[in-house]
Amino acid sequence: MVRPGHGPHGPDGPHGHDFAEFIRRELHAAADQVEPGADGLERIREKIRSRPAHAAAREPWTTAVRLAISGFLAGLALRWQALRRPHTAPGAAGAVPRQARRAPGHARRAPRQPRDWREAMLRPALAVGIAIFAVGVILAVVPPLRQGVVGIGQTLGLTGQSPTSNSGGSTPGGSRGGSSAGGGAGALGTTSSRTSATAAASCTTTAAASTSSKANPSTSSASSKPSPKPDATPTTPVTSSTGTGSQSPSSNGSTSTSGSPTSTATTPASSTATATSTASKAESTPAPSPTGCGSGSSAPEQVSSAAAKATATAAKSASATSTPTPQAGSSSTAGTSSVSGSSSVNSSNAVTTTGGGSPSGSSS
Amino acid sequence: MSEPDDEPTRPINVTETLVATDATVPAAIFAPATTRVGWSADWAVTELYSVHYRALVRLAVLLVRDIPTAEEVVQDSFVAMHGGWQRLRDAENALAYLRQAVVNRSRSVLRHRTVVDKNLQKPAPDMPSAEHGALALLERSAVVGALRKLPERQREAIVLRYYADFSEAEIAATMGISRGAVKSHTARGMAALRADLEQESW
Repeated sequence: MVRPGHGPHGPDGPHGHDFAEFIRRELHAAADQVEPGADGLERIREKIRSRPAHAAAREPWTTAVRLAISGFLAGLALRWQALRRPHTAPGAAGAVPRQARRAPGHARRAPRQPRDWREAMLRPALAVGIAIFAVGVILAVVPPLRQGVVGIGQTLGLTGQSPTSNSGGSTPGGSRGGSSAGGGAGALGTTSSRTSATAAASCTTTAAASTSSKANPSTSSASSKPSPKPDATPTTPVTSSTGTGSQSPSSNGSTSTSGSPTSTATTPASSTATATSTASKAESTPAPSPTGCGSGSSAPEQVSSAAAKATATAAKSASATSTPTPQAGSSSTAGTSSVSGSSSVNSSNAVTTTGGGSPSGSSS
Repeated sequence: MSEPDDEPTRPINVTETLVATDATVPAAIFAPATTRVGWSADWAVTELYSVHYRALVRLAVLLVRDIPTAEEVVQDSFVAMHGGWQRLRDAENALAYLRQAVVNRSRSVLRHRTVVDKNLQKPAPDMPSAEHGALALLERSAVVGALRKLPERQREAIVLRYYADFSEAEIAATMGISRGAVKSHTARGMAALRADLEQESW
């Protein structure tokens, strides 16, 4: 042992004013001889990894979810065990009734009856149902959200609708997109463009109902083939598009036309007409359907109002003028025209291709 | 707007600091606090370990007189600092936290050791203890030997004052006592050391 005063620091080390400096040198000399192990960092990391609170601190939501699930499962397990456990006799040894441990002043509760698992699942099922209902209400109330969902669905291809179907137009890929159930609707001449989800809900509903109920097989089978011609849909606000539609006259004079410009009908009585319609954007419903449900041409943002405003006045709606050119084999019937063509709208709000023409060859 | 060519463009980017190599550790440690806010806990542990681990172990050795225990104390302090990094978020705060944790844990170790020594049967004199080899280096110093005889607070105050070169305020913050208490403990400890060393010198 190095004694102070007799060591290398000199005899006056611990004495005098520099005693503090002597202590400092001694402490540094003693401590500097200590060399910690080189695996300190690894050991620290190992301790950090092995610390149970570490994972919980990093992902608290995971822990919360795990605890919630485990708690729920534990509750279910307890209930299951309570169901499976045979009831002990009241006087059995070791079975201490719960009521016996209570204070005498407490009211005695009725013994809890074991519940069926179906009964236990009522509340979760109810919660799920309420959640689904809430989502539906939200989607119905908020139009942008609904459109977003529709767009996502279309992007994912979950629906049979075409990307341009929300404007009431015929879809290039939708076989149902411009098929009008004019025959089914009878004299109404409504278009059952079910792909035009946003176009005239009442119109679509009526048409669909009539199609299902009174659909003429010849007209209901009219299907439009997708039109691969993008040039058939002009992009100018005031558009004038020329489409070739096929019609299938029904027995009551209404036509069933395919919306796409190059659509063809599969019915034998179908007539192919080339319709040229000029539609102004301001008057977005040139469809002169007697029921006002024509979807000849419509702007995307005006589809609903157009459907509402569309009346039987085919001439008033008007600025859309289609001049179908009946081709050979086309069946021309009465002069009342019912254009049930569907419009295809591209991204620039331009509208419309009136694919359908009246059996008489003129439609607006 | 172009920057001068003589000044290297060094964007203040946290990511850049995070991926800095060991050569930039001192600069990162003493850099402004704004560049260190983005430290993650793992990175802070790594950086502070590379700079301060040895000094902290030596500080703990002077307090607990045992190298393995001192390493254990310092490592546990790093682990605690890692767990509380969300509160610290700064290297300076982390270093102060580490010092205080080392002192407190060393104190706890000494208390535990005192209890264990009371209840544990002492080994035979010819059986060297496990820490005998580790203490051999320290025992050669008369100052360290005299330091062991001091009470905890006085020993801590002296070690922090004369080994770690802390100020009175830092010692007070580390020990959790007032500056007056620091002065008192330091003065009494120095007087006791002087008396012990003078007694041994004679």
